[in-house]
Amino acid sequence: MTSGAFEVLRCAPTLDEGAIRRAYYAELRLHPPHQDPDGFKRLREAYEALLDPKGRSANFLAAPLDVQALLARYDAQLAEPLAAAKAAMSASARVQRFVEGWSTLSWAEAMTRASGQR
Amino acid sequence: MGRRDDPRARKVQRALDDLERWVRRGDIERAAAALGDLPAELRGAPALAMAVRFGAEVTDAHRRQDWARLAALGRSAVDAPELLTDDVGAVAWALMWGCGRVGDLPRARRMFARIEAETAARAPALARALAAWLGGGEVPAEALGVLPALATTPTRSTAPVPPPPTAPAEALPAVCALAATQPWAVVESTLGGRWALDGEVGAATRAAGFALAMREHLGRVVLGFGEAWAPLSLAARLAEAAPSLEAARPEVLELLRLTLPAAAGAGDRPPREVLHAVIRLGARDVVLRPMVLSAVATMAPTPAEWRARVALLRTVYESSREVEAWSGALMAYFLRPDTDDEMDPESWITSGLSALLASGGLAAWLQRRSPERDVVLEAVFDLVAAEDFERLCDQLWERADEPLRMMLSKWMAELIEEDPLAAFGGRLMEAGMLLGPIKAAQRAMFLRQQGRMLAYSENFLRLALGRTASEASARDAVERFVGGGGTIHRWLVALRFLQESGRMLQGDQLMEGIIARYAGDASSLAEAVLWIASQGAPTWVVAVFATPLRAAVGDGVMPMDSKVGRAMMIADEVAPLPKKRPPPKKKPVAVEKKKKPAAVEKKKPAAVEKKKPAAVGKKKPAAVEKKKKKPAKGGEA
Repeated sequence: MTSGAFEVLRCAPTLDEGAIRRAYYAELRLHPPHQDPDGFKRLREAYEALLDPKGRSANFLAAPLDVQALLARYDAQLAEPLAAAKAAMSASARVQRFVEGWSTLSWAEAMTRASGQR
Repeated sequence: MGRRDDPRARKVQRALDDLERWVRRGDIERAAAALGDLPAELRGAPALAMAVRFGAEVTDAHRRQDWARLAALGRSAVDAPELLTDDVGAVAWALMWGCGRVGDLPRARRMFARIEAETAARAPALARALAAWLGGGEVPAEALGVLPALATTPTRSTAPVPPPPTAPAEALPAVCALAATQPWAVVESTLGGRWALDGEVGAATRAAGFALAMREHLGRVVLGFGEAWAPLSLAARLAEAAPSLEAARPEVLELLRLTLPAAAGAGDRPPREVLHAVIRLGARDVVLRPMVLSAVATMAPTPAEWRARVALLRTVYESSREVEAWSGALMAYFLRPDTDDEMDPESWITSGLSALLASGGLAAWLQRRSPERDVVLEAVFDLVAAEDFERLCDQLWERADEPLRMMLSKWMAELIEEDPLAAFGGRLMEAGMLLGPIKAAQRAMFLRQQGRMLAYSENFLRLALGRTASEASARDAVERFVGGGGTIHRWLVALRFLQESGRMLQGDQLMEGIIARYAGDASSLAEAVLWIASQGAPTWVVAVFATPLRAAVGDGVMPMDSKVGRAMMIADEVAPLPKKRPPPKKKPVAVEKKKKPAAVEKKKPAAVEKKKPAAVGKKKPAAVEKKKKKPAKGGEA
């Protein structure tokens, strides 16, 4: 198993073996071998793949990265101070920034950007 | 009045001629001017034909950010508004900025008028800001808020670079002020060197800068703007400046997750400098290093990509001194598809080899059983001088497992019996050593190693038998070789080498010893018959083993084991049993017949014949076969 092991364990991608073990035991309760042999087999394979350091690394890197969520996290950190910095700019600097910023965008880019304001 | 006398007609004709000429010459600006000279009712068809070309010209000028050209095209568009019939929004938007940026606000307003309604509908804040700017008023701050993160920062800025923060609390506002007022290049150089990143304030600045660089990269990815990877250069530099590996680890992990899968994929790959910067960061952290190594393995997996692979592994090695990275690069070089192309490995590989030999790191790595070990050992053998290889053997021997000892013995034997010039390379030759001393060095090496390697290498036995005239020494060598344990195969090899070295009597004694030792062991004797037959030995040697084999299998018993069955077939072929005579019929006493002459005496079975001398096998052992031509030896001692 080279990818998707974290999904099987319903665990956020991590290199922390303890977190992986906790996720495994939590899932094990839902897929006990005598009741759900197929589910257990899948779970066990994913767990064993993640216990192996190389498998864990490969799965960690292969796990899909939510770029939007990551961007939102950095936005949350920076949006307010950035807005304050823009508000504090002089009128001429603001005009320059406005012109320099928007004029290089194509019409399509500008409309996409402006209509989906972040 | 004729047409020639009509000034209006002459003017129209001249404009039409000009239009045709300038269109033909590709001068869209003059063609537009000629179009403007035509009466409005005549412009329709030519304008329609020119509109697409005009639009392409505008788009190209906008892409190059050639504002003067856009302003000139804007003048044409004002003079001949019919030109704006193809993709009106995109063309008018670009012309508006061209006119506006050169200060021609009236024409810029004319262009804005063409797109104002749509802009107001789709982006009212932007429409308000544009109206304010074109009207000479202040631009509201909200218009800046919707700008792409930094993806379109100006290429120049008249605003001064804000001062660096003096307290940790000032770090984030200072970094944001820098981002709000300066082009990305200035942000990069300021955070990447001009502002201090050490101490408490520096740490806060570094963290804020990293967040800014990541936001910039992610913003560009999400919005699909170009050069999305560029901000990660700054992010990598800032992560590198973290006070400790532990502090940097979460940041490095994010960088790894963003870059490594992209580098291994088929999509937008990160540029080399970004990829290598991130790999360098990951490789220096022992926790993240295995991840980096396994990811690198997927990036340039085929032998054809060996140069890229070597470059990646070099980055890992230089950050970590990790033997696995070095050995991976050595293997990539050694297994490259164009081995006919004589070339030495990169200098970092040879200097890395010297360093790893000196530190014992290579020995420790080779002691671990890995699938790559044999290839790496062979490549090392090819690269190093003879005495260095012997030193490596000395480092490895005590803690080496059996397969490794066999490999070491095999390569040492090859080194000892190799052409002296090739084995010891140019180094000794350059030092003025003659062939005699080199051979003496090989002999000394043999004497040093035979005690422990003889039991592991049949080539060592062959060397030992070839290098001694003493029967006692030969017997001792054979005893040590077969004393190394193993199957009947070792005994047979010893037998072959004894016969090859002309020691027939000792060979016979050994053969008797083998038969006595394995009497009753059908499987081993079958193996002996099969192996001897496969070596092309004379049939009498096979026959010698056929008899005890038959005895072990049992008369008339059909062997179940296919190996034994095959051996029996060979035995029957080379040493057939004498045909059994039918039991004599009882003769009637009364009738006495004349006695027949004695039957022709059956030929003695081959098993009994002993046609000496002959060798068991004549095939050259595989280990003796020369490998491909080696690169010049003579590495550093």
